[in-house]
Amino acid sequence: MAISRRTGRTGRSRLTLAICVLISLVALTLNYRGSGVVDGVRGGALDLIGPLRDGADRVTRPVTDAWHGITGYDDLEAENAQLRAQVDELRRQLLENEGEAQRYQELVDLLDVSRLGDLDVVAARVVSPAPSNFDLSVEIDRGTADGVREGHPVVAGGGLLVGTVVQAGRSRSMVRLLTDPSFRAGVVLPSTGAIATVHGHGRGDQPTLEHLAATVEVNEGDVVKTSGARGSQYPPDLIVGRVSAVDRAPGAVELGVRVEPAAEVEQVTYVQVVRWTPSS
Amino acid sequence: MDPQLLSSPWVRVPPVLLTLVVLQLTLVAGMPLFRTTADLLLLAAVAAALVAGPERGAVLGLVFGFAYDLVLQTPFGLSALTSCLVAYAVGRVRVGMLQPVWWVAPAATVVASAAGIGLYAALATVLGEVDLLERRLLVTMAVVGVLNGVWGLVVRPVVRWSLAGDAAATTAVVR
Repeated sequence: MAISRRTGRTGRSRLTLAICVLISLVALTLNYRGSGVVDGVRGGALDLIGPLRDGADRVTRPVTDAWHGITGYDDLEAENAQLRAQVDELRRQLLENEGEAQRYQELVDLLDVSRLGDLDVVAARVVSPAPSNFDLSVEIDRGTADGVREGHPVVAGGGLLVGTVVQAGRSRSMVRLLTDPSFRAGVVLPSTGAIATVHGHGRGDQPTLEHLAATVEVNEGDVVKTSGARGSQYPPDLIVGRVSAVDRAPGAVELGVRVEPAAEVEQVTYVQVVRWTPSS
Repeated sequence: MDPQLLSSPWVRVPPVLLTLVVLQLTLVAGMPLFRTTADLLLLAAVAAALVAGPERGAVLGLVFGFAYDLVLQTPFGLSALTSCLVAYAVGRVRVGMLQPVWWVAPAATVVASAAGIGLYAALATVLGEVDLLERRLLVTMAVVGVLNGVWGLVVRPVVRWSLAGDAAATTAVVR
């Protein structure tokens, strides 16, 4: 009797599991078919949870700050030393490039090239860090009410690519970071004119360049910018980063190129959303 | 108000779920270890399975997973699928033990959390989302296991409390 009851319970629990799996698969199907239902529900959740998150953030901020102080002390020291070196380097470059800036401005005016300064941007604050280990998206405090739309590029420091808006609620938006494994963007290496695709690899890993023929001459330190090619989601000349490593494997068709992002994408606090669409 | 109603999971689980989501997005996301954060919603699914057995564990895993999916930009339903499968497996193991000892719940939390992360990465890769089966995945699994083990000291009693009024849950597990 006890055995049959237990068997019956097992059968019922398997049926329940099957129904749960089926519901999950239906949700995944809706997601992959690009159903507006999923986007609508997610946008609603973003606006609904936003105020609660703000309140909780104010309460928990001292704890997370203390945590960062404890676990990130060594990193901070190293970063401090690196920043001092960068300041010295930038001072030197500033002195060298004083005349260059004026010539560049004259050239840009002459060629009527659009720059970030000409684009319509809205400033935003990052209100929440990446919520999961596999989803490198951050939340910003601007939404459709501020003219933010899905697909808008997000930059820091006046032109350093941070990511792209993937979900826009009324007053909040989610930005997929450059380092997210599903991030891709068309880029160009101005030093050679080579076109490639930059591809994120998750936390702690630098993005890489894809579709770069092994014959292309690429060197460490080369700047990588958005190409702004026809149909591209990004305007031209947003700075992605610098080449940090080049792997020329014998017999390989493509180069293995790592890129160090120019912006501190996972620690950035203030950003600008570029209200730009390919047609504009 | 009826005290029986107040102890019902229908009343207790929603605020617990909302609190866990908000904590995941703020406190937990702001406290990474080796660039890895705990996964409170997966932990809650495991805790529910330990308390309520495989059947209710799977259902609650589905609910917790969907709640997490709502605030992520990963495929909608992927966390739900992972959580319900992990919770079912934990529930089955728990039911199969005639006399569970004290360390079963903490150990199950650590192992199931790590396994859940691995399962999530495998499913994401099978679905063609991105290739998450990289060397770093092992680090992520290990750190999530440890962090969830620590957070489990808080989350497991809360989940147990939220399901305390569920008669079916309290009889589901062989004690």
